[in-house]
Amino acid sequence: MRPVSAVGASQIRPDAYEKVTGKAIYPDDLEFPGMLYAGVYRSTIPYGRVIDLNINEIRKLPGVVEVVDHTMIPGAKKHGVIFKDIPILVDDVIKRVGDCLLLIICETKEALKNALKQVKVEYEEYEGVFTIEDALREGAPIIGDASNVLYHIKVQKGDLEQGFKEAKYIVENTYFAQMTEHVFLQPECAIGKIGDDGLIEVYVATQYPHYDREEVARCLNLKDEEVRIINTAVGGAFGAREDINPQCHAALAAYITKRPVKVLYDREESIISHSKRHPMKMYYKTGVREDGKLCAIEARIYGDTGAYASWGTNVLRKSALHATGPYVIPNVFVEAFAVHTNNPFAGAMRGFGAAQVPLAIEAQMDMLAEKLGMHPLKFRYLNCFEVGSVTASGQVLASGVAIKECIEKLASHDNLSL
Amino acid sequence: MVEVTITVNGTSYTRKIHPLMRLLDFLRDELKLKGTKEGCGEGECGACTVIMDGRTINSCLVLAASCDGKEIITIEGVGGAELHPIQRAFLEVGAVQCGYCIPGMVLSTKALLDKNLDATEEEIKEAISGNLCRCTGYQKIVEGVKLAQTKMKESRGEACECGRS
Amino acid sequence: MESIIFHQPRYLGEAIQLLHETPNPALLAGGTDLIIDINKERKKVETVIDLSRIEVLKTITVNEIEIEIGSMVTFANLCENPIIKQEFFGLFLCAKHFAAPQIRNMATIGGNIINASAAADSVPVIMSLEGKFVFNSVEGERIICAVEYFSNYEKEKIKPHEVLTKIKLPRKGYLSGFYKLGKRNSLAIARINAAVSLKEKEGVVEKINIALGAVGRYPFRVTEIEKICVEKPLSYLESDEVLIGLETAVYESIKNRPTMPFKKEAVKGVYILALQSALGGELNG
Repeated sequence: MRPVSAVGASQIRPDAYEKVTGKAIYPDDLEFPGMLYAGVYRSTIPYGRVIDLNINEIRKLPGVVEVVDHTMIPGAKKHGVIFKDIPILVDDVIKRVGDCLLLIICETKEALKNALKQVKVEYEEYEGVFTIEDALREGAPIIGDASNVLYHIKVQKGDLEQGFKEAKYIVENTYFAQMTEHVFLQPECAIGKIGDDGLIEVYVATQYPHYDREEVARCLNLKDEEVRIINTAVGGAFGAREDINPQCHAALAAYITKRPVKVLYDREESIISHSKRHPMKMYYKTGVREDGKLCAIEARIYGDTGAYASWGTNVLRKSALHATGPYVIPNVFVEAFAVHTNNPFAGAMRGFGAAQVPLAIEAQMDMLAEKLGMHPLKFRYLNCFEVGSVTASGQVLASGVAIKECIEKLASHDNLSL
Repeated sequence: MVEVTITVNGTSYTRKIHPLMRLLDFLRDELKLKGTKEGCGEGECGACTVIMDGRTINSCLVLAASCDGKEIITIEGVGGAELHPIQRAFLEVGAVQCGYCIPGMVLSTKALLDKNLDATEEEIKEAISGNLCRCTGYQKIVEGVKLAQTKMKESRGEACECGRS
Repeated sequence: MESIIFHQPRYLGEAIQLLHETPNPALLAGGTDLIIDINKERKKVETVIDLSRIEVLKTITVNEIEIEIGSMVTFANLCENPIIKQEFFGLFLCAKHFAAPQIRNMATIGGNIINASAAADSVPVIMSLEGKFVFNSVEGERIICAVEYFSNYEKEKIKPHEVLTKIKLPRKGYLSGFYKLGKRNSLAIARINAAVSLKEKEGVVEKINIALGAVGRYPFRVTEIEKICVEKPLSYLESDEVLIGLETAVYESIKNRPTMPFKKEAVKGVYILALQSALGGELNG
């Protein structure tokens, strides 16, 4: 094979030149002639219905071009990466603070700011659920589709009971990981416009332009080929630009007004609107034999997936698959649940469900090492994966398992014999 | 409306503006200089950093009306046909990822190195402490500033030699 | 948008006259709080009087008995002033660790005082240094000590027609220090801050002033504790009596707040770090 000069050499990112000179174009850097400004009015309650909205008064305000409610959406009223459950504009039940109620399109930023301030909503408010425990309680209001359990997965291996019988020491604890916000530096912005060829164009900073195209097309009742997504420079994402956010609103506003329309969030709206890292509650019971070998693990992991599904299924699947850490454990029973509440919805964020469980499994490892009177690094060395190991889910690790080498390096820094 | 004259990147601009217009909006909306970014609108993130009369400021926290007679440097005023050594250094070490913090980072770095080319790592970290980056973890940015110091010292050395000849 | 009147007086007299003639003026100092409030529409303004052009407010002057700091002196200016670093080290530390460079370059000491935040960094320092505020208006000059201003805030607070012009600090040769506990190094709002100024002779405390911030509606001095420290050896300043006194003072000040259990413990460490920075130079991270 011909040697590739790029391998092993540091390359300058092709996009970096534009970025160090300030020339890179993020969506808010674009302006088009005749451009309008649109924004959404968001629910201030977590659970309930709209009884009345002063939509006609808003329409009469100076600078207001159009006020759009769900009845004016030509196509699908909901979107979502797996399940189509997030309302573009709420047509039924409000399930979280920040649900989109009205899309307001104005001539100027100032008129939009003013119009959004003038919206008055009469709500019928319901008692929501805000903890995993409450959501799983019998008789709890159903936030999800038919159940508050969006997703349930089990990973089983060996004989758990027998495994714990072999244990010399067992530790049992419950861990909590908090909700986390991505805070990418560039707040969401999208511009919808009708292209020269009549296609609906959306300029947006996105992780998935192809998904966006499908969602925008569904919303407008168009074919995918009638929509063009133009990805600008993306000012950070970390998972929070996987779900649709301003895309459909910008496209809808352009579709209705036939003019370019910009939707720009401030930091507050950015934080209110997009997904979060799942807060998790993790019950762990881990057993170790007298010789230091792990023998059994039981874990139940609950992720608060909030009002909408987003990637909740995939995130909790990943949590379940990573629940045992990089360790060989012959007897395993792991369950993971994605649970709906009226909290902000949780979805993708760096690590995607694999970030929370190490908190639990590694704390368990430290406690077991202490009980054994063994150095925690040595204890991990004794139990960690190597080539040929089989994971809890039955995957055979055929190559590229380097954790032992890592531990050896760490140990050599400490002059620790393994 | 108030009339202001502000020098931006060496060019003097006179405009009639709303008295509560922020400098950030003056740069982006009036002058169409889009390199200055808005990240938070409350002085926390530093994406809107510009240099005013030699000192960094958050352009989201300053009224353009207060800047009458001031000299502003934005990212568009750094480097020219060739990259400034700071920009070059940021490229070479891989300090740039999403890029949204970078105009502010470059300007905070410039304000520092223009005053103190021998800044220590501690002083570098202090100088960029008002600029948030969510991608890099800052390590590469600090490395970029250090490389910029080397490059700027080298070019200063060359300039001196030229002066002698 | 409604029409807003924007004044940018060049002279103090002009500003005072404007204040006298204008109903509800918004005084613009460094703007690092006011501009956010305006932009987020938390504050409605009709007339803005921008003080940034008044040179006399931006100067630091020194005479034999005191230093006079103009209200529009920025935190960056404070850091750069050699006399402040030499003689008012607590104020230097406070300025050095204030927010982040961009904010230090704009935010002013006067704005920090007038905002009257519980967590204002400069106020405990000024209190511990026996500082006074000078207000001017068409009626003349009003001078009030910082402690009195905040202990009797509703009565003494700045009047609509007044402008804070100067902060006066007596040159008493105090050793002074400051420590701020924040959630991060930069851009932190103080969870607790403490300022200590003292005079010692051969290891014996002659005088000490201790001021605490963010443990009550306004910063305050703990005079009872100060009194018991006088004529004690320096080591007494870290004794249990003093620390328990501080704990009690914080408990009494915020007993109904959820942060009380944390703050009554944390104040001890914050005070000790402030004290050590006064005695031994910077330990303030």
